[in-house]
Amino acid sequence: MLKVNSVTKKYGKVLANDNISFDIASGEIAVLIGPNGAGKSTIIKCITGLLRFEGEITVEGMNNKGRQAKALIGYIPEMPAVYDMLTVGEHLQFMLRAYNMTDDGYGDELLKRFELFDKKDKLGKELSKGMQQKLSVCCALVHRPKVVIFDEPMVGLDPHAIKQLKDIFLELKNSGASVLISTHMLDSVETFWDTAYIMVGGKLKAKKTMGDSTESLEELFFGITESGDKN
Amino acid sequence: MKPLLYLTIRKAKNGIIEFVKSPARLIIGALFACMLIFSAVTSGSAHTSHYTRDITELYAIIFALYSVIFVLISKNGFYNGASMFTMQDVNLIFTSPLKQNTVLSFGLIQQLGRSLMLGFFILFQSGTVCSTYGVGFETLVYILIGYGVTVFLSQMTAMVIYSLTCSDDKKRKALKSAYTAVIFAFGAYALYTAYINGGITLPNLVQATQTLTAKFFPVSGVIAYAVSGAIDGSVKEIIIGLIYCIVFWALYRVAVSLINSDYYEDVLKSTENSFSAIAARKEGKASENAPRNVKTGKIGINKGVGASVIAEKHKIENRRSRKLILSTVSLVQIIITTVTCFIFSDEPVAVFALSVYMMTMSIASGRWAKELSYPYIYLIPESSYKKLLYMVKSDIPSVVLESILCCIPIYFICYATVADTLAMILARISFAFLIIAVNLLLQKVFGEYDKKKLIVVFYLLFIMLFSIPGIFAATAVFVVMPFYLSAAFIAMSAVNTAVALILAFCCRRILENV
Repeated sequence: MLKVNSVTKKYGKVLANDNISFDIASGEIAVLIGPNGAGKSTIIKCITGLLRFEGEITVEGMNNKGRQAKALIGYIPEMPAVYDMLTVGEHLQFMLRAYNMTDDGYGDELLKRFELFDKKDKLGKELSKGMQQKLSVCCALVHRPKVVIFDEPMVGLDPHAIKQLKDIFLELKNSGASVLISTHMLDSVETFWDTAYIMVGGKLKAKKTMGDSTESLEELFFGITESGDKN
Repeated sequence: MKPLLYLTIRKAKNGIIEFVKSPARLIIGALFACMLIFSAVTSGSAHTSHYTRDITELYAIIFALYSVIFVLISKNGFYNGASMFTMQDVNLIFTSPLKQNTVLSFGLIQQLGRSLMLGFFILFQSGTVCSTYGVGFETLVYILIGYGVTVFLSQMTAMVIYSLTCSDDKKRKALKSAYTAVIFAFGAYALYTAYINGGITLPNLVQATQTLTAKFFPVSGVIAYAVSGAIDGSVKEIIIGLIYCIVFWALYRVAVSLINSDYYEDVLKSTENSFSAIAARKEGKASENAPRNVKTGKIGINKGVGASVIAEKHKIENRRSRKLILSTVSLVQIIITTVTCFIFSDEPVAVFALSVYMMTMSIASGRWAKELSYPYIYLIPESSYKKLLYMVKSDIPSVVLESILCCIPIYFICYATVADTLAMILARISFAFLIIAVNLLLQKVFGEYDKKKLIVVFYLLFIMLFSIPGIFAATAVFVVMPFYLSAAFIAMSAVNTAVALILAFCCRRILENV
């Protein structure tokens, strides 16, 4: 379970996140949507421990900056960055070592699902952007995290990888993980979100639960962001 | 095996395998090795030569080099923090449950390794340094180690500054004022000391850098002192330097834990910036060296139609990046040339050669080169030759002014004649044309070929090759008229310009990718 409680983040005078609070229960998929500059990436970086902030974030009841909490988080960044001089297989080995885990074959399974297994011995720099994104997903999932944060995960992926990723969202949900997906591709998450959080100008403007209304994500998004413009 | 050790070993191992497997890298590696061996061997014979300059001049140069590096790196703490990590480290290591202190040590050691690699250029100066100051090749190795340590400690300083000031603008301004005051105070002290000792001359300035007060200049004062001691073979200075580094490291660790043990944010912005710059470079886009706060000023491109709009666009871009005529790189070149004039006051041709050599690296960073990395110039429906000319147009005033300002010190300090100075200005401008033409030739020959390091080798080779006619003409004229150096430079200018025009004509269709 992920709990974000009254998180405020300032960059100098700029208020990037203003008193943000939300929870994602185990087995829940939450989507975080909002226009560019709404503060989505900032709150994600706060959750993953990359930024300092005011407020509290807990993972399974533990402070998110602690090592035990970090061991439970998986993070897929917006910009994939893989080591040029490490092979695909070595990336996963490195992650397993960093998370103090033994290889149970899950890494190979992930590589096969994302059609990277035959590229296991390729160096990071030899991969295309899309392949780097797939590897980034594999690295984030190989230690079987309980809280998984995806920041624009579909960008650059081919249709096969998008399908695999969608399957993985549901598998993570069924395994009891808390999943947070930040995306602009509303269609791609339309069928499986449980809760939608809409951010505008650093604030959480709305929370909708699947079944609250018959509106699609797109309608919800424009309903809130465009009414904000008018106000 | 520990994860970070595993990472380091794997990266190194794969790097070596890649190096061996790549013919291009092997060629470059072999070239560098040959140049290094040549430098080491020639420096061995050079330092036994007859006449050498005062060694304290070298100590002053070391102090100045380290001080400039310290200021350039540590001032980043007021903006972005330190950049000892990569984006890969941020995404994969920062989010992992590894101890922050372990990650910090990993980042700093990684940075030290990178600094030493970058500092290798120092070793190639051995020929000049050894023959001028009568020292051995090992001196260059000491200077390189000192350089690496200076970069390392400067990064730590930048990180502490960022940690202290990132969340408080008032604190940032106050610390920045104090920082600037310290640097200016040391500068003023050096000038004052030189002045009261008989005037602001090079020997007096050199002596000012050797005083006890100069040793208190942050980082570079003691490191330069320790390196000077190593050159002299004095153990005392080396030990003081080592103690300084250990104390600095300990203070740094205390500062980081007291100010904010959670330092990830302090390196994030800088890491993201350098990642974006590297990504842009990989995609063949030259990054814009813009100031932090860009003043938009007057909006709109109101002049220029067709190809000429390129030059008008460049004017606006130059204004917004605060490059009025001369860039920072040009100013640095002018300063280095002026300083070199003091050191080699009886060798104006050598100073001129150095100023041309510096131009080989700076001219490729002109606005025209950036334009080639964007698609628009290729798409504009105009004649390629016309587009090429307008593309280069905005860089010509800076080339001319830079050449004038580089050659004026040769007139005043090296006592070159007016005719010689004017001829040198012309020759330097002609070299600028030649270098631009070689860049176009490279674009034509290599196009999108992505082995950048190999291209740099060919770039230097092409410049040397196409400079031969001009040098030959100058030599021939000088043999015939040995008392008219200016005639030799004018001949060189004419031939260089002709070669540049021929090259540009041959490359006129590069914008059509033909």
